[in-house]
Amino acid sequence: MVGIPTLNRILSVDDEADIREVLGMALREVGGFEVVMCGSGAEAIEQVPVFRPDLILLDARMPQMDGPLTLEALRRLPHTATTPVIFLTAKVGIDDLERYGRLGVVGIVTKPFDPMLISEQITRTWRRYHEGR
Amino acid sequence: MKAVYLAAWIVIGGFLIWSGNLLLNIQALWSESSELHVLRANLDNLAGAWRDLSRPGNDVLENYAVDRQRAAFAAYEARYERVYDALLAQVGGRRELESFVRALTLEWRILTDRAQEILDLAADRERLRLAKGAPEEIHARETRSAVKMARMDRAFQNGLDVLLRANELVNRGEQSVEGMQRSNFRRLYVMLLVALIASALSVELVRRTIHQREALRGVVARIHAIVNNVVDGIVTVDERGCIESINPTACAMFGYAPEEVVGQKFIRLLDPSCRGRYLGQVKTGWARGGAYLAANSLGCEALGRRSDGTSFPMELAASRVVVDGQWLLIHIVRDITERRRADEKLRLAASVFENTTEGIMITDAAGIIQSVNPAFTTITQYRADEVIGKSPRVLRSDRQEPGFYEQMWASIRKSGQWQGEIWNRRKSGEVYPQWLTVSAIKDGQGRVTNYVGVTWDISELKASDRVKEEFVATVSHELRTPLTSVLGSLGLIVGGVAGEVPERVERLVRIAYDNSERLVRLINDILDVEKMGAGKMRLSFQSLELVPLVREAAESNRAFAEQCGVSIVVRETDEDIHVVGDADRLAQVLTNLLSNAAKFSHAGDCVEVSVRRRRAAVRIAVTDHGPGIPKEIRPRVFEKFVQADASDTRRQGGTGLGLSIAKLIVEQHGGCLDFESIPGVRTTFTVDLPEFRPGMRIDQLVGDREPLEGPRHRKTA
Repeated sequence: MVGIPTLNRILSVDDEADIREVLGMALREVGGFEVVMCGSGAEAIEQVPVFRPDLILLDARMPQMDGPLTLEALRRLPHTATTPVIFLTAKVGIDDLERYGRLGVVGIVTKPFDPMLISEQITRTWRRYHEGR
Repeated sequence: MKAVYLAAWIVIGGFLIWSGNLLLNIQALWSESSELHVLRANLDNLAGAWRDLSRPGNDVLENYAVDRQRAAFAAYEARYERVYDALLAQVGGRRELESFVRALTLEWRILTDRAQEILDLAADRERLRLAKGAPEEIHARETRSAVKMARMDRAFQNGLDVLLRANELVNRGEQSVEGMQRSNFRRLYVMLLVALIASALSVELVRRTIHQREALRGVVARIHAIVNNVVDGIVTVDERGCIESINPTACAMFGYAPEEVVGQKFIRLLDPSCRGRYLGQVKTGWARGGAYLAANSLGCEALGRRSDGTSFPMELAASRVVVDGQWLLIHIVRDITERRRADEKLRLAASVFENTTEGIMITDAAGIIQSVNPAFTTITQYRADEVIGKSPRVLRSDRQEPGFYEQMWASIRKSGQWQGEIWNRRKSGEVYPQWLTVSAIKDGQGRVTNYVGVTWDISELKASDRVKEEFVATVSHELRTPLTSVLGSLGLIVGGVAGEVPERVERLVRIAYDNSERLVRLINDILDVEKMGAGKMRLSFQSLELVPLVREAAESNRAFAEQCGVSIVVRETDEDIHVVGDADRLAQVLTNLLSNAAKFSHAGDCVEVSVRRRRAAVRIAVTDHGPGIPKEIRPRVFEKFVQADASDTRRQGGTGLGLSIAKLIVEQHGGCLDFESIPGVRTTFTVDLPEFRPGMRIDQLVGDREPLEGPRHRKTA
């Protein structure tokens, strides 16, 4: 059995600049991750080949290219075809959660999140993902 | 009838006369017969005397004791005379016999004359013999004697012939009498037969007469009983308009005793407003004859007047009859107060049926539509004549799950009612949701006679529900996005990530952070309530061991309790208790109860938790020793946004939705959430849940607790 790889690089996509700032600080300062924050799906697609993230945090609801569309596009890229993705969403309706779950993401984090706990939460999901493989 | 009786009496009279004559005849024949009998005896006697007489003649010739002979002859003669007299008396009126008797008497006279001559000759011969006379003389006398003897013999013979003929005549007479008597007896027999039949007929006639009388008496009694017990009032009125008789129903109706009104004017029983009309009608009716006042033909409302002066609506009809040659008006009166009320109720019901906005459909017991109201036609777009006589199937859409209608009818048959949401199809083809209540209508014997379906078109309601849901979802999302930034920023400051901040700033930031969290809880709770109200709360049922769940909840709330200066103690637990439930939701309930208990406890107090078996249920009890729940709030504790408003105890802001959510969750688990509060002593909230025991299936406990229209629960073992 291969050991669980260390989670280092996280690419996060969110159209809200404030959230990008808070989330970025929380992941870097509290979680100690290497983080790239993108403001849109298109930007993420550009960044991915360069940054090569271990995990992607994707806001589900964004203008123009929303979470599911971005995910679809990322899956077509060789670097992120299998990269684990966590949805970040303010929509907590059962229907939404089920729909996102069906898209093949490894976890869903609901907004508002606790900046002091989100890194731990992501790490837990990462571990569970690799343990289940 | 009278003619029949007259004829009967004539027949009976004739019969009696005839039979009287017959009896007299029989009696006469009887006496004649006995007379003939005596006659025969006398004739026999006469024949004896005749024969005896013939012998003395010989004796006279043989013996010459003339004197002796003469004496004997005289005796015979006397005897003949006697018999002859008797005979004459007997044959009186019988001419033929009389002539014989007379002929016989003639012969007798001849005989007696010859005998006298012979006797005289014998006496001469004796004298000659004694005187020894000449033989010639003797011979001459003997010759004369012999001639006389021969004549006497002839007379004797003639007499015998006459007697024989008379005897024959008597025989014939006797035969004739016997024949007549036989004929009479035959008549007598016929008479007795007729009398017997007549008696039998008479007995039958009498019996029938008695029977008819009894029947008549029965009819009279029955008519009396009917008149006295009939539900209608019956009042008979004579030609002067005075009451002649009144039955008990009418007495009760008008409030009089019979003796108070009999002989009084009938119009006393009518309200003054209709007396004039009544009299007018009677006048024309009387002139026309027959039924002179048909029901409801008064031309105005017939009102009766009671003895207390109050009036009441009634139905009045009258007809004219002749009883014992006397004209009578028979009035039939009926109090229709109750009927008026019932009519009014019916009118009201019909008005509701016509004007309500709910669609109403009435079917017969076989489910065939009998009647629909205007609202029904508006909702379904079908005209009444397009659905009446048809099955409600014409309204069916294909939106219902298979077996839906079978279940619906099973429920109606079982409980007599069903209600729920159902998708139907309008005439235009549009499928729409409606709320339907179907009720079975039963008769006195409990047999279903009709079904009534009441429907509300809930498409607009549904649309507005959808808008509301979307609004709530959108608002909660839109609130969450800025809150994420606020809470994230404050969280980083409070967590020290943003570096050191002055103490006063940190205190203020903490306040902002706590209230942001409270805002998030409020949004979450509103969403929960919304989801439960719409039946969209999904519970993941599985078998859970309860005590570890309770301990975990106590543990996770301990930090919060400690902030309030309160400790949580789990005690009095029965081990190995399982329930079927959603672990997250049950934890939510326990968190709510524990945080409430901590919030409302005094610093230094202890919140106690216990888990105990109670028969088939399990009880989780959370007890605090705070001030208790004010009396005025108790009935509304589980309502939304109700909070005990003791400012000093509101150390942590609640949303006011926690308990109502907890109650909904417990109820979705088939359980019951309740409380008991003794102000200043303790308040205990209890959660009772059905215990899941070995051998049970999960769906036994949760199978029928699906929300009305929500998706199915996920059932996991």
